[in-house]
Amino acid sequence: MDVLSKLHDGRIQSDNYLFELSIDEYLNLVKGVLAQNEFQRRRVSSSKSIYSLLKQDIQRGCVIPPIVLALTAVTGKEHFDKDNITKYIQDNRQNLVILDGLQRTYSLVDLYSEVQSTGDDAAINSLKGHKIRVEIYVGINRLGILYRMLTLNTGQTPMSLRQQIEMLYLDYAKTPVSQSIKLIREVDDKAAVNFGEYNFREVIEGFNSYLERNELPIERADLLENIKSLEKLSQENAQRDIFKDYLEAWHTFIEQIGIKTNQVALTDLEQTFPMGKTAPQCFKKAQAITGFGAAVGRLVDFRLIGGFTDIQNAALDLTAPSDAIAFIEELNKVGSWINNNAKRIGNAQRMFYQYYFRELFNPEGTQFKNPALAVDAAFQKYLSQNT
Amino acid sequence: MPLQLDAGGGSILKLANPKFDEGAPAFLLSPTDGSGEVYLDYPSPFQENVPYSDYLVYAFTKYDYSEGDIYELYLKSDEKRIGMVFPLQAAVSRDHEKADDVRFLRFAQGAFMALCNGLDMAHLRQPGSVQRSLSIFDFYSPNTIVVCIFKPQLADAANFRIQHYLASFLRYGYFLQEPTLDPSKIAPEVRDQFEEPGNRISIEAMASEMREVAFITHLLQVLLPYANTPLLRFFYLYQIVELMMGTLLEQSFAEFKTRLAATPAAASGIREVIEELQDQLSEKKRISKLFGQHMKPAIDLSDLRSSCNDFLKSLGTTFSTPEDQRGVNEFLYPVRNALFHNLRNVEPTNLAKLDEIAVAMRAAVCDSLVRFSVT
Repeated sequence: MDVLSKLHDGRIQSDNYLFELSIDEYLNLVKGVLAQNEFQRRRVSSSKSIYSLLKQDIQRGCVIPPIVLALTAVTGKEHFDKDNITKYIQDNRQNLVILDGLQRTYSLVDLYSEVQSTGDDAAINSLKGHKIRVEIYVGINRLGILYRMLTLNTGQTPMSLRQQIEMLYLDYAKTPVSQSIKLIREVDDKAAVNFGEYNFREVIEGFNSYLERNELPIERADLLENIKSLEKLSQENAQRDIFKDYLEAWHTFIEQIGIKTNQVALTDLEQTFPMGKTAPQCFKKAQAITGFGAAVGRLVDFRLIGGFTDIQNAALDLTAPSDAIAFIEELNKVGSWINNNAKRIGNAQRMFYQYYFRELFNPEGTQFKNPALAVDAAFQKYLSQNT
Repeated sequence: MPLQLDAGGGSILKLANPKFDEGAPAFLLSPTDGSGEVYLDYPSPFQENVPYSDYLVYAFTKYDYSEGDIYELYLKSDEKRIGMVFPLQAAVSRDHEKADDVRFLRFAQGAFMALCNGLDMAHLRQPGSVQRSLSIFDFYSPNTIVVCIFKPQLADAANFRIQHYLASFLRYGYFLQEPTLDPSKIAPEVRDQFEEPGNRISIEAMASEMREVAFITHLLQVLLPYANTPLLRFFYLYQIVELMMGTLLEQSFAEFKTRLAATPAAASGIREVIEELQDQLSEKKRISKLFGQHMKPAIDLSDLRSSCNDFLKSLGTTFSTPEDQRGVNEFLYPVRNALFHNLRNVEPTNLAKLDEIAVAMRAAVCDSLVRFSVT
């Protein structure tokens, strides 16, 4: 494992080491890391994927792009140079994180296993000795590294927007919230269907909507601004509490809307229900939570509420609809209208929900804490802005 | 032509070979210079065995649409279902009612892959920087409507020409995108008041005498959509009326020559043939004959009649025939004359009525292009 170069990245205040090492050395370095790589998407399983092609190319001796790792748990007091960094990394390999190149790593693991099973010593030794390059960031600032990866397009296999968003907000997945809330991530490979379960990406979108006061989907260009906003917030250490309050307020609303409608469900088998059959279903979606986030943000900006504590209290005191079925039907009528008239159904729903939550949680409004009345008021507001 | 990415410094990357990455989910495209791949987000469920070469894909523009406007496409001639028409937005959305419909998903995917290969659209937008994660709308107008035809459903896919069907599509408000023009610049006044498709879109080819006329394609695809005033749109549409009348006139000349050659050299016989031809030279009579005898089936001109009468009334024109009984020579031809010969005397407030005339004229001309018959 040879150090080829050391460069200091001034933007993220971290040293970047470029290593050249054999596949055998690399796999030994990261074998304990694969199970705990929190940054990456789940493994691509298709046998026809480009990673099958990659395995063939590696056997033919191709040079794969550098894999990027980061070493966490560095106190900043260590003094590294080309002589001692290699030993330090090997001694602290459990603190390595694969930032870019997980799928390539899986391909190497698979290939190694396949070649070993052939018993062909020549092929095994050739593969083991094949050289690759690895960059390792020491002294990690995650936000800064993400910023760099987004702006400089490092890595031959870029992340999709969805992956980038998950990486950006990964810390929030570990935020301690109440026992009744569980965040389901993409790597969990299941849907958030049970009470208290929420899709992590949707929750993050909603939080982002709160920060940006905008219910529309995160655009690529916005992501860089998001990173800057998060960097600024991280210095205040306040955002972790806000996220917790936001999520708990949302959970309370979902819980209470189900309780206040007695968990009734629409049952007409001949109809489709664009919003949902039950009240929680109508709201447990990305469009609703982003509308919620944006609405609360605006209510805060207008000084109509202080923050999520006010939302929490209002949610606990919602007025039960006198006719729960009619309430859910009304929401679905709005959904049908949007489906038949909107150029971007998802965005139109987000806008509707944003108006809805502004009506519902505005203490000075006539629909305050009244889920049923807020529907028409919000829809009229939506129409006035869009027709 | 492949999709192109502006890499800065005058360098343009060409993207090719879309491959689906289910982990993303997105289609990965490879720049031809070998640099890093580019993602085009594709959130819809991937369908196996959808060779996009099985589809003919065309990019149209429409403004007054909704995401859920997904239609089956039929050939009216034999009531055969040949494909689908849908907003490009629908192909990348999980929100509309057909988001899990396998038939739709196959068409959407086939169309998306064809669009990834760039169709033949030189005016594709070029994202301003080499970002690796892009949207199909970085390359295509957000108002793009995809017409996706399944080739095996066509009797003669190799000779299928979308240009033959432009008049039919225009009836519904779909403009075929023109490679060198920006679809977002289509005149706002041209963007609505079209026929509603109902459950399906049925298209008919233009009459055989019209479908290969390059001027008609140019007019429908370039001149008309970007004409900013109703006066100009009326002028362009009337050119098609002139063209059809001209076709009939040529036929009359041919018949005249034949009859003249067969007429004995006696003054009375020859005079009769000549007088018949002279009669047919009158534009008033030619326009009546065109719409009265050479549209099969006849076209409903009630909207055009009504809007023309309204305009003529505002000019103080009087007629002996009741409004609802006037022929084209009494409502369309006088409007044409007023505009071509007397525009300077038309009050500006009356010119506003031309909007309605232009809309009705557009519908009538689209129908005429399909129903025109020289016999």
